[in-house]
Amino acid sequence: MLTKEQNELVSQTGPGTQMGRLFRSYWLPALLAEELPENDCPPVRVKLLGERLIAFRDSSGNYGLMDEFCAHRGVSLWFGRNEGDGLRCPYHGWKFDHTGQCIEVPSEPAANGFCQKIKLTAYPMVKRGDILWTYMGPADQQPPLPVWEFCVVPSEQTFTSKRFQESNWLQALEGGIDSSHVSWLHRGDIGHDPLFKGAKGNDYNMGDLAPVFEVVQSDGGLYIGARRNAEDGNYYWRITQFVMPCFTMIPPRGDHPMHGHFWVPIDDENCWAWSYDFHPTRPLSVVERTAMMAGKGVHVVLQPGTYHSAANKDNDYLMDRNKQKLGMTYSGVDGIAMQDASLQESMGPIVDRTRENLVGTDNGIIMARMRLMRAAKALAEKGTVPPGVDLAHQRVRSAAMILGPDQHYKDAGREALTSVLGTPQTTV
Amino acid sequence: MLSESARATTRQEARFRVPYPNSRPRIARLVALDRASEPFVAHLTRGHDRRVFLPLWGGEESTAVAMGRDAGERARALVTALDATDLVVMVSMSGHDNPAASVIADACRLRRVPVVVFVLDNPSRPAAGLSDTLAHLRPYATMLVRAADEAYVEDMLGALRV
Repeated sequence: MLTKEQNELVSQTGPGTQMGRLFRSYWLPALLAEELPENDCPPVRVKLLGERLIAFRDSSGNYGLMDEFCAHRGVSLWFGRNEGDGLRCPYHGWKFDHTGQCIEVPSEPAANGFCQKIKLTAYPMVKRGDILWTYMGPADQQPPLPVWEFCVVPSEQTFTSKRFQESNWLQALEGGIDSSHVSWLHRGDIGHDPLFKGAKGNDYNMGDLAPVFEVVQSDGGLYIGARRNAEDGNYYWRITQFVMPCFTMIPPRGDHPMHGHFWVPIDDENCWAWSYDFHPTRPLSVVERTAMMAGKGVHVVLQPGTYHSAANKDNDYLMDRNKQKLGMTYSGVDGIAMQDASLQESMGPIVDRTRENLVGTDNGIIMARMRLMRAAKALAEKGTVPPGVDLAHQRVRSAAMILGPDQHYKDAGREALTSVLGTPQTTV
Repeated sequence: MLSESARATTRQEARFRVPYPNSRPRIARLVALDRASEPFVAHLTRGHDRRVFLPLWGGEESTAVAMGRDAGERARALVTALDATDLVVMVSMSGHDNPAASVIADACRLRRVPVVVFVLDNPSRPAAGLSDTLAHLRPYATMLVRAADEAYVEDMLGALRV
């Protein structure tokens, strides 16, 4: 459980909040690169960390991410005209470049310098992998560009999607580090989903429904180890990575690609669930990529032209009680991602954590909250750079492995838990 | 018309959640598995009426589970002590022996009481000591936590409502 004050601390990420300041220490996924596919393409509305922004790409290919509203009289620049070196407000023709600088106020003589005094808040935005990343913190504290393995491997080895989720970011993230629910909620899918099935590790998952968690601090966040019984007194370990503030990586199954998420706050009641799959040593097969695009694995079927899932709260997630009864899906909702999202959204926009009763399998969730709260306070009170900013903290991998009873995964799996480009993943 | 799920998950609807408690208070017994961690464990129980300190090392004559006692007597006393216990919390400083762990864990198994084990990192001991401690305690724990500092233990107990 958390106190009301703690729950507010971890849930609120708008400007001026402690958790908001923490989030503003990192490069965060802002858009899929496909949303701004070419120079002079239409601008896109973006809301991140409770700030309404507009994204565009000018004639020179510069990406801009700035305050959505014109500095003149507050018109949304979504109606703007993407013209050459900037975005022009259609109301009175004010024009802003990709840094937010006003470069034309047609009603004012150029010589009086009025437009130089007008500047919208703007954030840097750069392409890395399939994603446009932004940094929304103080300019003098901007960290180096992210080096997450899924976005630096060759493009044929990686796939990224995103999905709108109607819940606070943290209750979504907590699903990503809660390995114990897999044996329940996703039991109908582990054996059938093309991106999960066939792995020996699945048998251990289904054979031991009471995993024991051992959570250890890593430099950037946490290693969340879930231990299940294997043969001959050995243990099957699945080690999930949590890197501050909102990156998770799920252990692989067999030779399937590795996958994971970013859980990025839109505002306090909605978030983007970013989902990636990548294989460290080979291109994704046609079958795998087709499955990902079809919403299998951690991805979803989207409503055409949007990033909203086809199954959603407005249609009761296409709940199928017959499938639930027959055990084809455990909850009655199709697809791993929407099985998670439907339950997380059912908690309400911001779950009341004062009423929860946590148990041993919630160990990772408890420690993740503790790390987040400590880092946010240390940043606010002492200016301490939080974990996860250092690029070394981003060079991580999840892993699945069989270990003897005397071995600890942090020591025995040291290499397996570190990302080294071009080396195989450790999986069962 | 709004779907059932859309209507039920609004902020407005959250106001109508049943406000009454959904769990009963829990009693936890806290045990220091080695002398080095005993002062810390005793400190954790001060001011908390639902955290009961179970001293193994302090030489309190009233403590039938003290390490100096006969093993059988100790085990019987432990099982009795667990009668009104919802959770046992064992704390160990890494690198120390934990001779009591198996006895306590057996008693807990008998009474079906879950066991949370905290292993406190001890920078003055070699890393091998930590691995040994974890390996020794792993079979007994329903939740094994390698804690970087003592504050984590306090926070974790709060999160578990004990």
